[in-house]
Amino acid sequence: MERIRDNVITKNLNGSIRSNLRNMKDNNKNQVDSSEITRRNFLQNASIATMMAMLGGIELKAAEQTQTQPQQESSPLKRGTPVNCAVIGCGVWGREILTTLSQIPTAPVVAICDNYQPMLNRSKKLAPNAEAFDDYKKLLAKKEVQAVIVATPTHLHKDIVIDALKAGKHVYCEAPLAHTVEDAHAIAKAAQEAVKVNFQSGLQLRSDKQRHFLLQFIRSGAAGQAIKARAQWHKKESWTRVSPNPERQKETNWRLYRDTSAGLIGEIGIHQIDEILWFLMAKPKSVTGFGGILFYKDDREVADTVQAVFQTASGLTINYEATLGNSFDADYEVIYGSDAAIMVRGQKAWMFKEADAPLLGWEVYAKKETFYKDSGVVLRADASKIISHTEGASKESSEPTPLYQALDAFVYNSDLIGTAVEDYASSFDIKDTAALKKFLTEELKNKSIAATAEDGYIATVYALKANEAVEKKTKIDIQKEWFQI
Amino acid sequence: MKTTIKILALAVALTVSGLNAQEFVRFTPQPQGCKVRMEGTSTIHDWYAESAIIGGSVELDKNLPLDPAAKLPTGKINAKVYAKIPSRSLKSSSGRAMDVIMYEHMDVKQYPTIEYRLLDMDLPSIPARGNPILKTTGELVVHGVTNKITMDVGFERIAKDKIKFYTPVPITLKMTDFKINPPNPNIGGVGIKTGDEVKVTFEWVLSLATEEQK
Repeated sequence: MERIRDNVITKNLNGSIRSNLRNMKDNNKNQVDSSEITRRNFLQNASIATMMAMLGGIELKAAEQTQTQPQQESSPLKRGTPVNCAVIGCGVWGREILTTLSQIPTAPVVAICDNYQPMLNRSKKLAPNAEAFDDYKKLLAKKEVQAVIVATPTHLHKDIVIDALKAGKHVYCEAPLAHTVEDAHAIAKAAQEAVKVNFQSGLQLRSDKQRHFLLQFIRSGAAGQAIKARAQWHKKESWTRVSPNPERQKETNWRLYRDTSAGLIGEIGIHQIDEILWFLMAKPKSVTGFGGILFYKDDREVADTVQAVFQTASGLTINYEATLGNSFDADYEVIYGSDAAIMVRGQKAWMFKEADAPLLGWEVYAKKETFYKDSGVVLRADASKIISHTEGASKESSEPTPLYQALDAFVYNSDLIGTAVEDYASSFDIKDTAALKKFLTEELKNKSIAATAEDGYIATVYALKANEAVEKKTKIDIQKEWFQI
Repeated sequence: MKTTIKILALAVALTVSGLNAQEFVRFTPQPQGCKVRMEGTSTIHDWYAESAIIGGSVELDKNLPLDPAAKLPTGKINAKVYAKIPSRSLKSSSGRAMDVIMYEHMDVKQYPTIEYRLLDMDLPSIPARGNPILKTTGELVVHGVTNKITMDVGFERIAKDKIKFYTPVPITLKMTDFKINPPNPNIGGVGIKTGDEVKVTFEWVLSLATEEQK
């Protein structure tokens, strides 16, 4: 595994290789995180898929055939039993979560919590059957609450998450896990020790079906050898929220102050950086930061414009840029390979091939879009086939958002774990944690793919260290031991 | 007087001996040693469902030799066996969607457990090689319906404090005998018919109960 960690995109792997197509069809061998995908296998199977499509059309929709991928069945029965949810923190993002939960049939919201009454009032409209609390401890005391989604300001996560885990609730903790490495570590440790419940980090892209398609594509070596990667987030907005009174000013605008915020990289960039590191299985050895408060001359303490350059041992660089001062070109991620560049914007992606890159085959039939002087092949789970070029070509994506998919996975996995633990306890000694862990490992083989506590912790450490590098305008050498939970 | 004492002593001895005959040693299941599997057919492919949970307990006549090296007596064995499997712990090879269909057909909310109670256990002979095979009769309750079933059950004394029961050959059961309609789901527009018969196998490892478990 070590040899492919950095800049080589999984070429020439030995051993038994699961083919891409078989991987999609085999429910029991569906860990798409696997590095065991070769270029040859992927291309071969993509060609088979093209041929199949031409012959009558079997859609190459990896996610729909893979049990661990997010499913879109509308019937709650098909997705297990409902799990009573609660949302703690009902600000803008908390309400987005409530809206999304309202679309998931197995996620009834039975409680909401915020220490600011107007937020609760607004949220009640989105969750009319939910009981409202101004103290999260009172909410956690409610037995009917099975799962909590923690969407408070980042610096408030730790106590809430740890108390929720202690109360035996399943926990979804928004990313970053915390605003300090110490708090994030405490959360991850508590989550790993809470064997009987489900913990999910809010790295929602990790549950996105389209990302899993891209992951296979990139790791197959279809883009050649990774040369570099870049991501940006540009948006002209002050990041300030109107405060109803001076007392709440700092509380409302917690993202602007050093002691409560993880900065632009921590609050926004964490998702994009994690995505690239995940795709490339890269483990940066250092991060160098630049930036400052260039435009907004208010009392803020965190930079409004940042740049961070991660570098791996092999020299691969991952460049992240974000600004609140300009909106041009919005947000996207690009992985530059020796044969092609792959650009991801939201849930869409394109491949820009080099002139000397080998012909993959299926791209001849695939939908293409023009970007200035380049023509990009649309990379979608269903766009690399002739079927999408004909009847489905004009159809826009109707995929659920990554947040929907992440929350759906959370509820699904919480149900799986909750029922498995309950059944286990009915027959065996639940105090034997080692035996329970072993049992759950077997039982949860088919759980939906979602970011773990470890995933969340690692992403948080990288983001916080990048933020620190920006603040100090320096290079930080990343230590292996920081990642031990 | 002497005669009276002798009679009393004899009576006490007989009573104690009688009590001994009724005494049992209790075993409880081990989490890493339980597996039940049922295999079935359908119009598109064969399927199976498994659970790693078999709860309950086994009580064996305390005079039954548990040392693996000791010879077992043939004939009727005094034993109490109660086994239970949470119905929803059965996981099918076809994924969660099929699990849910299976649970619906088993009415798991109303009948959350599959239960078995032993009525009779007999050891007709000791094989020259391998583990002895017990002839058992018991009541199996699935979907709230009780049926009497006979099974050949392998009996292994793993250690003095650890035993294992298992099926040397699969047991054939019919869903309809338990008033379960074989599922006929429509998946992706394709109607699937599930066969009525299922073949059941199990392994059940139990350890001598601790004081707390007694």
